[in-house]
Amino acid sequence: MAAAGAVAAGFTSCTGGGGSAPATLKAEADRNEAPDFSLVDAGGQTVKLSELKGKVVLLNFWATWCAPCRIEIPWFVDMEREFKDQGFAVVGVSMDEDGWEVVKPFISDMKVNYRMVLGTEELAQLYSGVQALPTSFVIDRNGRIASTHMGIVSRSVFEEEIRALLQNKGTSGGA
Amino acid sequence: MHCYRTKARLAALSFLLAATLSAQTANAVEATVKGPVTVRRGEDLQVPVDVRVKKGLHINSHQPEDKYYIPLRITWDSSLAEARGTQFPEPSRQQFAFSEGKALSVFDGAFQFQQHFHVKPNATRGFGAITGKLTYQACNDKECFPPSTAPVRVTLDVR
Repeated sequence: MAAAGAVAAGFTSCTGGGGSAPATLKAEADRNEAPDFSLVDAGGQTVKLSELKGKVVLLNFWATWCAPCRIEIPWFVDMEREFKDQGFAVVGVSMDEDGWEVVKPFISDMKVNYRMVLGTEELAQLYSGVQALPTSFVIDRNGRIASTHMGIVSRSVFEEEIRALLQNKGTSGGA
Repeated sequence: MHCYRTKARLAALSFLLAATLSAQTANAVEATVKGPVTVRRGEDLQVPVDVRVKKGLHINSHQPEDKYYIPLRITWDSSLAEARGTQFPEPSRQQFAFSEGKALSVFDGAFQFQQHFHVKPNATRGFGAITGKLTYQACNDKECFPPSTAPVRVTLDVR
């Protein structure tokens, strides 16, 4: 998947001039509805994705055993802190088979400040891109998937996308 | 317009990469044993197991440096013999884009480990098999794949 990085880099290289949306974002017309789910978080509260409509959501599938996932998590902690008040939320989906027994100590060690749920095979199937970890979906305020990232990508790619979507600049499609 | 065409091509490439992803992870590891191995009842036996990791992937060693990483391990099941220990080779220590400058303890390419067995004194004479499962967790330089197992089969000719 090294070439996937080249693909992402290729999209980025097509980014237009100042003020335009990142080219990694799909055009609004091409975005599909993010499949809804309802799962319980580490604190026992229900997280229902559709209830986050109106916010930009970064949905991150990960696992404790996934080394590249561990690079991204501190970024997401920072992003949750920086953008939360602007209508942004990170939702982590752990795919650990051992469940909270391993996930809770891990997220405590990593000082995770965003909502975390345990994923299921059904959920992974709903998000058909989840064949490897990390896989992240950036969801716009209308609950539509604006970008999908398989494998680790750079922090700046996420930040550019989030900023653009928070400003509702997500209409780029490159045409 | 040129940029649009480029993006369309890149999108197509991205789709193809996604399609090949599952092919990449299927049978990421193969473990084989030459055989059959001739042995007498009650004897100790050392069996070399050849492992091949698919190109572009690596797997955690049997001694990963982090408690959350899933180690390489082997389990055996047989009425013919008892497993008496495994000797893995020295893992390689490699850095990856995601490992933050730390070297990870991994295997890639082809390697061989030694498996020790004790053939039971009452083992049935003739051809039989010891079956095993090699549990591994594979990654490439950008992403990781769920833990999986590769079957191993040692064919014995018990005399």
